[in-house]
Amino acid sequence: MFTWYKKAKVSNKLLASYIFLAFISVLISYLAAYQVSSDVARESVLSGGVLLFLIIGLIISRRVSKPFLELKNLIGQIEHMTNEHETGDIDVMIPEDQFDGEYQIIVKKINRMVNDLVSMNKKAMDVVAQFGKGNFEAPLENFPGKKAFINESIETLRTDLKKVHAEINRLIKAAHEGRLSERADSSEFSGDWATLIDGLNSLIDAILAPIQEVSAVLNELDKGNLQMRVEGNYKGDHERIKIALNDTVTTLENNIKEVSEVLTEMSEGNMDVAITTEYRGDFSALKKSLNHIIQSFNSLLHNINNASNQVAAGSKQVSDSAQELASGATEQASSIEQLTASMEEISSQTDNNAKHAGKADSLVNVAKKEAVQGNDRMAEMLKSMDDINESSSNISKIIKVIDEIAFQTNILALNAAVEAARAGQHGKGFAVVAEEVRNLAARSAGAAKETTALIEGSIKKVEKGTKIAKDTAGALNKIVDAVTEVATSVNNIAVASKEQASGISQINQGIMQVSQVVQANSATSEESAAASEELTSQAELLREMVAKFKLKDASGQTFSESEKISPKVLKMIEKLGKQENERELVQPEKQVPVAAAINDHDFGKY
Amino acid sequence: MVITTKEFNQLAAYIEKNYGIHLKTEKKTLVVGRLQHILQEKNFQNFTEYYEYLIQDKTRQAAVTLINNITTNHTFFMREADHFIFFRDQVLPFLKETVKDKDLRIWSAGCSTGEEPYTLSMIINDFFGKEKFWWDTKILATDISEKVLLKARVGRYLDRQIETVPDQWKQNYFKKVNDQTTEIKETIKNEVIFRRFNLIDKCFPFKRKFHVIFCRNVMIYFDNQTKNDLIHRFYECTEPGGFLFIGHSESLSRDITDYKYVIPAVYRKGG
Ligand SMILES: C[S@@+](CC[C@H](N)C(=O)[O-])C[C@H]1O[C@@H](n2cnc3c(N)ncnc32)[C@H](O)[C@@H]1O
Repeated sequence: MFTWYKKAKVSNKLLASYIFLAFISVLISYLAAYQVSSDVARESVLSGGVLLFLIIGLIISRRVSKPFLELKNLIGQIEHMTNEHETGDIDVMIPEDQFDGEYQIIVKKINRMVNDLVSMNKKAMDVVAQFGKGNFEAPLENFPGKKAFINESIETLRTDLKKVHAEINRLIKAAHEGRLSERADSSEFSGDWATLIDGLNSLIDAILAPIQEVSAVLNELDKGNLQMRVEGNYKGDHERIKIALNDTVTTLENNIKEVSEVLTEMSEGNMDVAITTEYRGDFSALKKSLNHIIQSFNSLLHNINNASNQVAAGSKQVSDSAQELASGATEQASSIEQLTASMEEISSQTDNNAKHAGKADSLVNVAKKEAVQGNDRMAEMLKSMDDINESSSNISKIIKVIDEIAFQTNILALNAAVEAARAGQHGKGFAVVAEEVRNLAARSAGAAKETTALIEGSIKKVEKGTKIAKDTAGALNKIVDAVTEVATSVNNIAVASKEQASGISQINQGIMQVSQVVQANSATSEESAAASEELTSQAELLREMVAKFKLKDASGQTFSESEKISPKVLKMIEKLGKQENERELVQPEKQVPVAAAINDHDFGKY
Repeated sequence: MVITTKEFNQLAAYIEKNYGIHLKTEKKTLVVGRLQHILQEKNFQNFTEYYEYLIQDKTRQAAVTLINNITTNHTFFMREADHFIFFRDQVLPFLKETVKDKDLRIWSAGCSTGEEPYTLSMIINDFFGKEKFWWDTKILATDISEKVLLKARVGRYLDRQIETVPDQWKQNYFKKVNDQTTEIKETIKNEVIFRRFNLIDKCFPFKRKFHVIFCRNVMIYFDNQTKNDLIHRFYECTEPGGFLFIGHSESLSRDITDYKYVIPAVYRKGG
C-alpha cells in the first residue's frame, strides 16, 4: 500500500489523502454512532458517514482537477498538510507567511478552502452526530451553491431516519398492543434501508416463530387438545421453552389420561380404583383429592349399601306385616259382616217373639174375661138349678095332692059303683061312668106316681147338676185365677221381648259402628299394604342400583355385592320370582275375557 | 267359603286385565272376604260359578258389583297435606298468571268418596275469593267404583270423617245434617263433576289437556306396566308446565317419563 502511495502522482496522493480523510470522518461518525443506543440509528449514522465520504471525494476530485504549481515548498507544505490531515490533525494549515505574492494568495485560498471544507465537514458531521444521539431535528445551515447537495443528502438521511424511526415506533406500538403479526413495510425503503427493514422483520419472525408455535400448542391445550407438541427446531432459550412445554403437556396428558380412566371406571360403577402413579407438585394434591374422593365414595356407598339392604329387608318386613294386618282386617271385616247378618236374624226373631207375646197377652186377657163370664153364668145356672129344685118340690107337693085326689076319686068311684050296682038297671050307666072315673083316677094316680118318680129323678139330677155346677164353678174360679196369672206372665214376656228387641237393635247399631270401623281399618290396612309394597319395590330398586357399584372391601379386597345379600333375602326374592312365574303359567294373557266398558260418556266441560 | 288357587288366578287375571288392580296370592283373603257375600246372595256354590256368571253377565251389574267390592277406597280430607299447601302456594298462583282463558282444568283421578276433589275445590274457592266469578274452576273427579261416586255426589260425611277439616272450612263449606252427619254445601258440590271412568282405558276421551292431575294412591294397586302406560297417557294430556301429583309412597323413575321431579310426589311437564 505504501509503495503504491510513494509512486503515485501528487494529485493522486492528494486524492488519496482526501479519500483517507473522508474515511477517517466515516470512522469518526462510526465511533459517534457507537454512542447511539439504537441499532438503526447506528446504521443510519454509518450510512451518513459513507455518504459524506462520497461527497467529500467528489468535491476533492473537482478541486484537485485543476493544474497546480510545482513549487516544491508549496507542494512540500501541501504534502505536509495532507500528511497531517491524513493522520487526523485537520487543524494543520499551510503556513501563509512562508509564501508571498501569488503563492501567498494561493496558499491563503488553499487554507480557506481547506478550512471551509473542514468546517462544512464538521457542521455536517455535527448534524450526523446529533442524528447519532437521536436528535433527528438537529438543524443544518443551508450551504450555498453546489454545496447544497450536502443539505439534500443530510435531509434525505433525516427523512430516511425519521421514516425508519416511525416504522420502528409503529412496530413497538403494535408489539405493546399485542399485534405480533404486524411487520415493517420495506417497500417504502430502498437499498440497505430495505435490507435493514427486511432484516428487522425477519428478526421479529425469528423471535416470534417459537412463541407462535408455543402459543398454538397452548391454544390447542386450552381447547383441551393434549396431543399437540412443539415440533420446531429451536435453540437456546427457545429450545428450553419447547422442552419444558412439551414435558408439561405430556405430564398433563398422562395425568389426565389416568384421572379420566379412573373417572370412567367410576362412572361405570367401579369404585375399586385409585391413582397409583407418582404425581408431582400440585398434581399430587389432585391425586390425593381424587383418591380421597374414591375412598369417601367407597365408604359412603358401603354405608348406603348396608342401609339400602336394611331398608329393603325392613320395608319387605313392613309390607309383609302390613299385608298380614290387611288380611286380618279383611277377615275381621267379613266376620263382622257375618255377625251383623246373624244379629239381624236374631233381632228379627226377637221382634217376632215380642209380637207373639203381645198377641198371647191379649188372647189371655180375652180368655180371662171369658172365664170370669163363665163363672158368672155358672152362678146364674146354680141359682136356676135351685129354682128348679124348689119348683120340683112344689110340683111334688102338687103331685101328692093330685095323688091324694086320685085316691079319693078312686074311693069315690068305688063307692059310686057300689051304689050303681045297687041301683041295678038304672044304675048301669052310672056304673060305667063310675068305672071310667075309677080308671081315670087310677091313671091319674099312675101318672102322679110316674111324675113323682120323674120329679124325684129330676131332683136327683138337679142335685147332681148342682154339684157338678158347683164343681165347675170352683174349677172356673181356679181357671180365672190361673188365666190371670198367665196374663201377667204373658204380659211380662211381651214387655221383656220388646226390651230385648230394642236391646238387640242397640247391639246392632254398635256392631254396625264396629263394622264401619273395621271396614275402614280393612281399607286403611289394605292401602298401607299396597303403599308399603310400593315402597318395598323402590327400596329394592335402590338396593339393586347401589349393588351395581363395585366397591373396595373394608380390608381392601373387592367383592361382588350379590355375595353380601343374606340368604334369607335371596330366598325371598327367589320365592317372589317363582310366584310370578306360577301365575304367568296358569293364566296366559290372551285367555282373559274383556269386560264391558262402564265409563260415563259426558264429562261436562271436560 | 274358600277359593282355590285356580279360581283365584282366573279371577285375579280378569280383574288385573280389565281394571288394572294387581292381586297377588296374598290377597286371597281379601278376595274371599270382599266377595263372599255376593256369592251368598246369588246362591253360588263356589267361585267358579261366580266367575262364569261374571264373564257372561250382559247387564254390567256383575262388573259394577265386583268393582264396588274389590276396590280399596281409603281416603280422607286434607290427606297428604304437603300437596295441598304446594297446590295453594305454588300451583294456583302460577295458573292464575298463565291461564289466559280462565278455564282451569284440574282432574282428580281415582277420587274415591270425594274428599280429595272437595278439598281441592275448597282451596280454590279460598284462593280466588271474589275473583272466582270470572273463572271456570270446575274440577273433574273420576273413579271406577259406582258406590264411592254415589257417596261422593251425596257429599255426606260422618263427624269423625271431617275431623281433619279446618274449623274455618267446616263453617264455610259444610252444613250439619244430624248429630253425626255433616254435608258439603252445594256451592262446593257444584264445583266438582263426578264421573265414572276406568283409568285402564287406552284412550282418554277428554277435549283438552289438564293443568293439574291428581292421581294419588291409585297406581299403588296397579302392576308396573299398567302404571307406566298410565303415566304416559297422563303426560300426553298434561298442558306444558302442568303438574302431576301422585301418592307419597309412589315415585316416577326418570327413565320412564319426561315429567320432571319438583317436590316429593309432585312432577311437572316441561315447557
Ligand atoms: C285409595 S283410593 C285413593 C283416593 C284418593 N285419591 C286419595 O289419595 O285419598 C283409590 C281409588 O282408585 C280407584 N280405582 C282403582 N282402580 C281404578 C281404575 N282402574 N280406574 C279408575 N279408578 C280406579 C278406586 O276405586 C279407589 O277409589
